[in-house]
Amino acid sequence: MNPLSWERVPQVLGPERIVRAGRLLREDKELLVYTSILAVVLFMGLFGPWLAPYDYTATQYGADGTVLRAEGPSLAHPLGTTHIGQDVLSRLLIGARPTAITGLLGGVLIISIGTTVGVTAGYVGGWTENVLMRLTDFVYGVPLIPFAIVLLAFMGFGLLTTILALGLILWRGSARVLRSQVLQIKERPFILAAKATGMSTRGIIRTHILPNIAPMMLLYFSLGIGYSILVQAGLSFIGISNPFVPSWGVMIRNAYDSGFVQEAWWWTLPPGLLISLTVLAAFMFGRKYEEVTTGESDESSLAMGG
Amino acid sequence: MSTPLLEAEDLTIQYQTSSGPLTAVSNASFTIESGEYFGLVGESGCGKSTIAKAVVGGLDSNGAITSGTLRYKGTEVQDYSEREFNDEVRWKEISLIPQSSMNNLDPLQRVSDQATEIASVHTDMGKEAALERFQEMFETVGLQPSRIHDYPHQFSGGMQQRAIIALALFLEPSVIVADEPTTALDVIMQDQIFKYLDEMKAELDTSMLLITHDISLVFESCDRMAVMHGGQVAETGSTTDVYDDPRHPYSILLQEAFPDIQHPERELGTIDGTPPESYGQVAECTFVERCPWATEECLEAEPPLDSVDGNERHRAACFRMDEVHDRYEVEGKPEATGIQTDGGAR
Amino acid sequence: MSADAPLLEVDGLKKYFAQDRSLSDVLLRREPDYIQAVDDLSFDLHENEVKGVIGESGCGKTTLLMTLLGLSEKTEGNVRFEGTDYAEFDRSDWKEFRRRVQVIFQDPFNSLDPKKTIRRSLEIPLEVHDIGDRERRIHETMEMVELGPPERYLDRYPNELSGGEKQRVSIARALILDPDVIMADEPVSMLDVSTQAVILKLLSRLIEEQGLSMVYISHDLSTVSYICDEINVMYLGRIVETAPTMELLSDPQHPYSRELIDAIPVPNPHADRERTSLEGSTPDPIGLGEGCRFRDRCPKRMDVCETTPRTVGTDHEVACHLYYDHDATQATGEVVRSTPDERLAETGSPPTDGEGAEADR
Repeated sequence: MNPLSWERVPQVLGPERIVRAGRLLREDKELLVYTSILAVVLFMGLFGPWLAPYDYTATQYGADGTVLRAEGPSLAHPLGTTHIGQDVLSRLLIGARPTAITGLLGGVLIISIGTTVGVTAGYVGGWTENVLMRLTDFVYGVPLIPFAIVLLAFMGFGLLTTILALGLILWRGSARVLRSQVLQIKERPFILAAKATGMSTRGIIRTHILPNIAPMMLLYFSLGIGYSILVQAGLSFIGISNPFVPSWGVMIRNAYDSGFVQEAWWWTLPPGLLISLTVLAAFMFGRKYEEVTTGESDESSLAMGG
Repeated sequence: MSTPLLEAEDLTIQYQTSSGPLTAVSNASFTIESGEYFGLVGESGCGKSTIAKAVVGGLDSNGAITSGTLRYKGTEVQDYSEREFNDEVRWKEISLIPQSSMNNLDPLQRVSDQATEIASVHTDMGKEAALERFQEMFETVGLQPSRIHDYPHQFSGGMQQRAIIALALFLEPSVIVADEPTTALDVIMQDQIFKYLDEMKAELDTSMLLITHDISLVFESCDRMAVMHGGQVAETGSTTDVYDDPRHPYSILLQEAFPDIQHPERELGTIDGTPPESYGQVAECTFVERCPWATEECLEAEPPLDSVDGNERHRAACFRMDEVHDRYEVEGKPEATGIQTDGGAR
Repeated sequence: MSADAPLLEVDGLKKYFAQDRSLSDVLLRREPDYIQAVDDLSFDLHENEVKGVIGESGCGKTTLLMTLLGLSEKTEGNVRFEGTDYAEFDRSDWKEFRRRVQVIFQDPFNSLDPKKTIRRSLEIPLEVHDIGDRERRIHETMEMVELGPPERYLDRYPNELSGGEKQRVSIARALILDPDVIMADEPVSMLDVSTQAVILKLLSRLIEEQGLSMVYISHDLSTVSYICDEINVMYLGRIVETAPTMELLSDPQHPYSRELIDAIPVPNPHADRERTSLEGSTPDPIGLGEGCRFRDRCPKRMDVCETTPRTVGTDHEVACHLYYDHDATQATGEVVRSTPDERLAETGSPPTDGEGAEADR
């Protein structure tokens, strides 16, 4: 049976959803903080190139005509310059885009594969489940970085190939968790009732299963974003990436390579800090959201118990 | 008249929620004497489980006794800290038979180990003595004494519940709080367990606070009882009083709603609506929306628990308890519910 | 009422579940143990009939329901709907079956999709069967289950409704396809007592008005009597007694039925009911061979109970050796009913050495 991971949760951004989301954000300050951080990064990813004050490859000259090598922060260059005179701020803003793309595409790939495998295994059961779970176990056994290195060696060090490498491995966590959620849900009476009214397996998965595992899917999507960015930064740092695309990981690598890493804190701190913040925000957003939405349904059932 | 073993006086318990303080119990009063089985009956949302938890000092973290007193053997315990409760009261004075045995027996520990652990935490009893006592208890509840060293999963559901009863009893507490002890069990198993509970009463002189939604269990096994609705005690008295002469409309209607297997052709009573969820202070009778005899008066204040016909031992919290009783005898239950400005005359 | 052909026919139904085997069992090719959840059960349902199936947990009643609904495949035997065996259904047969046979479950908190509004929950079955005029049907069905005005409820989510209201919605969902048969799995056991009667009365009225048939399973005899014409008592996968409701309650014949009824608490402090003398608990239905499955706990056990008892009787059927004359049966080949008194007079207290049975011969 082919479950509908590509026709994923129709998280219809209808007016009701938006109002509810707004209320959630207003109520939970923590959630607001994480969402804001992610929004800023997304904004930088979208508009970075236009916001960058300088061309990110251009050499910057000082008033006296000399190259501004590894200069600290100044009014003209708030985040200073690199060892060959490039403006760090501009590079940072440009670098937001590959980071955002990695996060989003990586997250999408992870959750798509994870949901397909997890939901099929959980709902269909039998041999299918066995095979899919053994596959998941196998993928758990594959070490991520070496796998990425090998794959990229064959396919080239591109941004998209990196995302592919991550996606092909990191789906394993969400698959397991979503499968166990599906196992719990499928025994609930409303699923049996749906079967009794003649709904097809596809129909049940699409109409009843997916919406009910949506919070967990969102959590793992957020985790996927975080992990993708983190791993891609790591790969960049060890040199397994395209050095010409100035993602934040690459910036740190460049700083390291230049030998100025100890002095030029303005060069390494911003990207490092931003990577950490983004990943943290992604993880915490997912966790918090899941906690909040589960909490809502718990409270209403608290009142029921004499 | 000696001091009652357990006494609740105007007890109010609230839970802090995002929508404000949820009043689960409002000004509840009742007493349990020594050697007496007391039944607390009510439907969902009436507060009986909350009272059970409060008595064993196990209220959820967002719950607290906000007013009133809970006295055990004359000492006020509502303000006891967790530590004090553990040292003084729990297990050796007041113990609990919880609803579902599965969550209360550690699956990784032998039952005998759980017993000795409990004994060492709450008493000075040595391990040998504790095991001996526990074995005796096993026998009392009809389990083979040699099985005390088994793991919980080696017992069937009904036997697990009996093992829990043995655990609750072996330190010879004065009060056992049984919170829906047989709800998850089949009717034959339920009867077996109550058979043992009956026998224990004769042998051990322990009191029991039986919390249940099933009034038949209370009528059959308890000496005295209280009926609760929406956090308030509606009526309290001996089981025979409440059965022969119910005064609170809810007592009357609740009894009508229970099927009696000895009279299967009898029409089952119904009660419209559902109990309210009260926030903050309760200033009315919580049964008012569902009551066929309600009047304006019932909205104005919480009805006090007054004695019925001068009998201190039989009390009802209804402004109209005498009229209602007379009306009911003559007319039965009126058709409409909610406030009747003409006094409910039909 | 039952002159026409039955809607549902169950014939010698068996549903066994193989127990998991350890690796060594598999290697040594040991036969798995079977959980004999339903064992040789036969049963009919006619138009506008309500049959109850009573039993304690583990007796197989839920398995029976799942098999009747076609959600669980039988191991042996036949289950027929309007004469056609389920095993022979083609796609369109299943489509029709799934419209005409519906179900109501016991747990109001889990019977509705928490993410769907009430309207959506009622709309989906109509979409599945491509039935039009949906708004009208939804409104009508809501009125039928007394959830009015419908607008008050339709746009709400299940967690905003009370237990009783949720069950009404479940009933509405079962009714919306205009079925002929409804399977009910203890629909009131999780409701407050004050609401139980309301829902039972509602069901009773709907059955009458819509000419429905129902199989109502429960462990609670006291509520079943309200709605069922006939009661089947089930024990460890077999039906041990079948009788019209009032007759079963006033004259339970099978020793198990007696024990069950006697164990029900009575809401009367003056009643002097004796506690059950039955010991132990119901065993698991695994590896049970021949013979009456109740014999290990039966106060009236005899030697002959080692053989599986046949069902005797016409209107009031019972599967118990106390109730038929073994000699006559052997002689004529037909089951001849005997009165239990004759046998009981001989046997007295439960014999285990067969002296009672001997005396009768």
